[in-house]
Amino acid sequence: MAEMRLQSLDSMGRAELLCEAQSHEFAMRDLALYLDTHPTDTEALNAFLDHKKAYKKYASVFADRFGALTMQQVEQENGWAAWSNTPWPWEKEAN
Amino acid sequence: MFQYEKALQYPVKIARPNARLAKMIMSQLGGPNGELGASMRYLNQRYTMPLRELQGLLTDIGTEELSHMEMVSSIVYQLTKGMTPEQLEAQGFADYFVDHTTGIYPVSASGIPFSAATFQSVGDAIADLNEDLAAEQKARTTYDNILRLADDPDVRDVIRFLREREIVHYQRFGEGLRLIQDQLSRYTPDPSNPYAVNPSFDPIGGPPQPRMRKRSSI
Repeated sequence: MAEMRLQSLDSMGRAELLCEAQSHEFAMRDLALYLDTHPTDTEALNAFLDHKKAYKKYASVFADRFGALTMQQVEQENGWAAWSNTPWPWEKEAN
Repeated sequence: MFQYEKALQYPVKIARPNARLAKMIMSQLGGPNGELGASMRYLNQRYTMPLRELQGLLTDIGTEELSHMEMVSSIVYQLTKGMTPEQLEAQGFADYFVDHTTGIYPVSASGIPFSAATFQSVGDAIADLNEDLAAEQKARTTYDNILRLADDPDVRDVIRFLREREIVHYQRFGEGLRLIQDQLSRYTPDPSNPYAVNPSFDPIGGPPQPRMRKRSSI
């Protein structure tokens, strides 16, 4: 089962992976605003943590294959180009 | 500090350039109800908020507005990319073009440059949060007006997302206002007049009583 999941991650294209990562990122941010005014809602906190976990998974696969989303993801093997020489978000081909 | 994430909050992929539409959308970057003003409003107001929850809320919404500013700018950038000067002029973009070419510069739809006079930070949580609620409604109205005029489906999709966020922010600001209103009695010695204090400035227990001025006898 775990292997199948891994395989399906590998077969995902750039747009698909980014969409998954950003969907979870968005869910985190939306829940964050809710948690700001409902800090003791454990159900919301658990949902936040679930999305955070999923975001980290997709973002790290994305960074390995298509370039860093944050500077923290820059690693030796991909060089600085992994940050600076991939499409910037306002370009059509980045979306 | 702030950290940049190299992705838009919601994807922008506009197939057809349209400078006329770009000029309207531009208002949500540099106009009176735009995302730049929204971000500056919240990120400046947050320092003196009297509750940690409110400082957090303004930080998180103010940060999200920065990413909305980037989305609006991306729409304008893609709508004006690859056009000839003749096409730009034919679509009513000549006056913007002469000053900025197709560079992104924050102005309103009527060409007025962004001004910090479009928002306030008065250092009073009740006043500032009420302004924030109004600001979210004004931004929603502006997005509604854009949706009345824009027929490009790629643009409409993004504008609908941004409009939806104004509604969510309004909801959260309402809850934030309630959080501080529920605590106002701690700030005032007179429970019949809870609004006679500034919870961002006055200490718990109420403002110090005015001292009697010594008057020199004539």
